[in-house]
Amino acid sequence: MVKIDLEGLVREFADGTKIGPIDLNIRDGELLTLLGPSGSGKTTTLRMIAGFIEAEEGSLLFDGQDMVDIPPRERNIGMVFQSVALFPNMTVYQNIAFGPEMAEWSHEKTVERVEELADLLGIRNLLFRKVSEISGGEAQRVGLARALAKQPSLLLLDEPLSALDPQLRERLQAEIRRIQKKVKVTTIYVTHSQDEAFAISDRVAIINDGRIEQVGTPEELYDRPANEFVAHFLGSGNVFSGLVAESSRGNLKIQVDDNWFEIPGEGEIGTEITFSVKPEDVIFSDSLQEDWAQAELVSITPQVGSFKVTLDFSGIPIIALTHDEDLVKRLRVNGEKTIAFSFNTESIIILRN
Amino acid sequence: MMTEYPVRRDPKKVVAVVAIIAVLIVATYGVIAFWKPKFVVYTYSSFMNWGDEGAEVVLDRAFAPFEAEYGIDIDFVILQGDANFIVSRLNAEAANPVADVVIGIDNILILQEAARNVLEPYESQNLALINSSLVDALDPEHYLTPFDFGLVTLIYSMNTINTTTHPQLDYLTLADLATTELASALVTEDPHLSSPGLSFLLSQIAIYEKILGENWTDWWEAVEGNIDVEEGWSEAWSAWSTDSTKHLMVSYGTDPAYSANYLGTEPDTAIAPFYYQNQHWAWMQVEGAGLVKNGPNPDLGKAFIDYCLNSTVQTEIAMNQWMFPVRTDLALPSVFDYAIHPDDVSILNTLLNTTEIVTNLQSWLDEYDTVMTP
Amino acid sequence: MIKQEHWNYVVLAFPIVLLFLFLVYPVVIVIISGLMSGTGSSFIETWSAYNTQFTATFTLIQASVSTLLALLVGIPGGLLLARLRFRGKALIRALIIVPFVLPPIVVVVGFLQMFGSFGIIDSFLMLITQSPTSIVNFAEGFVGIILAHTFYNAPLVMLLVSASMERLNPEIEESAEILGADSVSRFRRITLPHILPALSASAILTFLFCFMSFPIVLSLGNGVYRTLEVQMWNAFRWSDYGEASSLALVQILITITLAITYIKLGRVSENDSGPTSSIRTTRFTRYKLQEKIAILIYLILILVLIGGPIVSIIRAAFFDPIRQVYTLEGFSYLFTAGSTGGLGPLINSLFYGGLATLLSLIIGIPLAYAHRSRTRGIPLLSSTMVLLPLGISSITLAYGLMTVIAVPTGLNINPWPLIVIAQTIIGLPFTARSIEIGLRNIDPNILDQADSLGASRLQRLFFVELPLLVPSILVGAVFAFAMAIGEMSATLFIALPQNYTLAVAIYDNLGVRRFVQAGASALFLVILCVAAFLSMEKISEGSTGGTL
Repeated sequence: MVKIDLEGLVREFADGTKIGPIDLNIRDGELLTLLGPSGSGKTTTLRMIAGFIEAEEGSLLFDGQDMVDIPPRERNIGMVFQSVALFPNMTVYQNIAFGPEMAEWSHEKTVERVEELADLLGIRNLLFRKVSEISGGEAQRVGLARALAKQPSLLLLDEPLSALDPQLRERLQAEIRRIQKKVKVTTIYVTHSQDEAFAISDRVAIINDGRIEQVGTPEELYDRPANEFVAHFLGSGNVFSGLVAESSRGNLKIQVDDNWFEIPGEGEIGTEITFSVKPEDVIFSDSLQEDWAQAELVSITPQVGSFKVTLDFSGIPIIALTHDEDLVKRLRVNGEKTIAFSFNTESIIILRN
Repeated sequence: MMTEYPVRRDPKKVVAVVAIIAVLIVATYGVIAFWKPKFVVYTYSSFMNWGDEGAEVVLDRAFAPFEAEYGIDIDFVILQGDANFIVSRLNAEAANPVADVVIGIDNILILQEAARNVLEPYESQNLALINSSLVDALDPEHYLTPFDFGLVTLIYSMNTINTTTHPQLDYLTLADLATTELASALVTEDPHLSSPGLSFLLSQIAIYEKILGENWTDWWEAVEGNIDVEEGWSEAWSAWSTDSTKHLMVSYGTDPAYSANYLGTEPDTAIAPFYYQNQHWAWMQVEGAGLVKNGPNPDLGKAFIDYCLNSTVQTEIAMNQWMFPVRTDLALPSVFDYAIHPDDVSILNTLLNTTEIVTNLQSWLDEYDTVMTP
Repeated sequence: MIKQEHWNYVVLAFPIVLLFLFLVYPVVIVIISGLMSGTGSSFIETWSAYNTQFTATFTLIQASVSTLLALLVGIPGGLLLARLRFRGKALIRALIIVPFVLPPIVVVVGFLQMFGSFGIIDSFLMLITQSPTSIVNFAEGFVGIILAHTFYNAPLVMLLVSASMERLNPEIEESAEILGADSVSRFRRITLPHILPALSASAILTFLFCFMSFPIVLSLGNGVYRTLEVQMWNAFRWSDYGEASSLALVQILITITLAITYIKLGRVSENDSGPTSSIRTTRFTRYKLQEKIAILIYLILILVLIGGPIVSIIRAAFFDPIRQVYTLEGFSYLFTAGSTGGLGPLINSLFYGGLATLLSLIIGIPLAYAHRSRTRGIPLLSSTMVLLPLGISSITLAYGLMTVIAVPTGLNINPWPLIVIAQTIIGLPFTARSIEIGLRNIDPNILDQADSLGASRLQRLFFVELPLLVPSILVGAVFAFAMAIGEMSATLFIALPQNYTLAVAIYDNLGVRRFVQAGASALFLVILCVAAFLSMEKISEGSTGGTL
């Protein structure tokens, strides 16, 4: 139940890696995910918000109050790590009750709260078990209950589900989402899995090399990636670069190698433009078409309900999505190598670099 | 249902409890340790311990009147080792002594500066009760008041060797002792740590330097690998009595009396004093009681030393210390007929005068160390 | 944050202050005052005396020879322990450390009983030759001292070497074998370099212990063979404080240098300690014939040299060699009160040992934390403090405590607190190290969790860290207790007869030839030590060898 603002946060480490400057605003009650590849600084940023790592520059505000001198134990946060880090010498009950007990809640209030959370997370039957006697998924739920016990205003989750198998992961994702919505606690989630981020978040911040690339809802990020990195990372686009050959009536003609593509937008002739095309907006055919470019078929991968087709356009990989079973069958049977392709122009996005 | 859930203890409370317990322990120690007996006497192990009853009983009986008269408890601190160790301990404690009186320093130890440093001269009014020659033999300056005396000489067990198998025993010379056979059968004590040991060393030096006119270190070089040097008299006694290869020991002239008493018949321990110049020689030792310098209870200490010359104490000496009490007016038990008395032999001490000893003792001991090191 | 830093300093300062007060200060003062006071021999006089030079030479030589022998005896054992598969290996591994932690005076008893005149070997030889007198006596003089030291330290070498071997990836050796290397060159070029750090560490530690050896040399040396420790004890007993301090000064310089070297080496090998590789063990039957014979001979040697003395303590507890009878008098001695009885020393041993263990923990835990502190300078200070007890001999410590603390405060009338202090200090390095290892193994995420959940520093310590440290605390406590009840040197120096511990009583009884009383006491101490170590192994299931 708190609004978080990161303003110009910077931290440099002895080995030269640098995080920041980071500017990020997290709204009260939202679930925002920090998404990025390994080593991009997600965990470091999270630990800075928690207070375990001190920032060298910039400010961190909780509801407008600067947290710089406040140690983690006074920030009213709850954290869940990937390893969960349950206290091995205590039972499940004692783990969950730890926060309230440290804060010297009355015994009745503590018990009430623990039972409430145990019900919420479906672990009521585990309360007297030792930590070594529960499964991975159960441990994650205990960790979550423990983090929520003191009704923190901020919940921080650092890749909590990465170590679990996919089915369990999906189930727990949904639960986390459900609980978060119910409890209405501001939540920052860290993951490198795009599916996970998109499944549970209100908004996602893409982080790369210590800097935020783009923040937005999953749809915004997917449909309108701000730059090449985001587009590539999300797999939301095939990225092309070329020179503006013609510009008229809100359309540009871009020359990429020896091909011309028409895309909507404004620009000066001769300037370089980078644009992105979503896989589902790539149209291709096994018969020659006029004005269409040509590419080589590399592979066809079946997915749930569609086919992912990889093409090679003079060294540039193009990923296309199709639902056309017959086309795919023909391509397979005939062993056609050359494909004609074009784009669905409306949804082409021009990228900033 | 509520009670099934465990409740946490407050760490502050636990720490407080532990701290309180710790304080209690320390306070208890403080009370117990400093609830001390009012009067401390240092003496050596085996003091008054060789009778049938053991030192505790004997000392209780001997000093009960004193304790009653002054309303105190005497703590006899029996230090392990011989009197030399007591001197060392007193020196270590010189800045803040806990002992009032020390019993057991002898006429040679008192010549050392280390001993004089820790004692306060006191001329007891009871000295009139004893022969003044004993006072002079021990310490004319009254750092020590005589307590008992005896002779340090060689003894042997008649069960293992005797004058038939070894006729030299009646006329023993150091040359006899230097033979491999006898040297490996001899037990003596460390002169640094033991008064009979020191007496033996001085005996040997006296004989070599004054009678034979030879270098005394030669004898030790000759016996070095064979002789058994124990730390103290108790250890030597144990070695001599339990090891069948050890026949001779540096001990006291009263040991035959002890043996007779123990066996109830004739003794099986005999003495073998040195024989030179047609005389038998032995070393006279006088042990004394001294007032510890800056002790906690000087007046009580003086009274105690006076009391040591009373018959209550002196009558216990013969049967428990196996030395001659300085109160020669008291009757001795019949077994003491088997003991040799200083009047029976020539006294080796007369060959070395005190100045000589004082000047040379340290260097003699150093030379001894050097010779005895392989 | 700032307040926490202050608390850190306070908590960490308290053990450092205590150690300074009871270790550094007394030793420094006593050495300086002994040298300056003019009583007794001067420094030059002491060191130019022949017997001092002999003592110093002997100390160095016996330490070197003992170290060499310990290595020679210990290395094969370490290799076998790592590579041979046999039943009961876990038990053996737990028991290997026992000789090393036995009180030295107990070792003397066992040694006399096994290798001395009328001992087990001697009696056996006497029996077959029908001789009435003693034939062999290996338990005295130079030979006895060297053998006893080897007995004492070979297990240490075995433990350190086998621990190091277990971290050697067997695939490296296998690759070498495939490439054509025979077992000798494999040993020389792969195994030896890998275990070299462990060898060096154990060599230095062995040398240090042998150098400072007191009870063994005092008992077996017959007054003729002395280490510097023994001579210091003598000098003190003759009131020659100048000599005592002169000896102490030189000894300290040597021992501290050795201790520093050991710690440095220890830190290095810490860094490349990886996880235990999958151990490739071989059954005995798979070895070649000559290897089998060699292993058997070696095992017999170990059984005789190391197992023998321990087992013979049992005989020592019942058999009186003087009267040549079996008796229970030794045990009745243990339970007799009064000045000739053993009950007093027994209670003292337990009481002082228990207190020393407690104090060791109380001081050791902050010291271990200090070592992991991120504040500049504190880790260095704390590891120096932990190193000092290793580098300062017990006699020096006792000498310092007696002179500088006991006498001025009048504690010498009943100096038992000083005995406890000395025993605490002697056990401290082991406790601190054990806890430090335990601290290293705590997952830092758990600590962060506790922080984020609102626990204060004290709460986190009490509810999370200490419970997790319980196994290492136990290991440290057992080590400290074993060191404390076995301590004889400092206790002998300080104690009045009423303060005697069992260890000192054993020495005393040996001196007056009450062998069976000494034996029974020794057996009691052995059982206590073994029980403590077995129970600790069970609880911690861990690498007690890691504590070294």
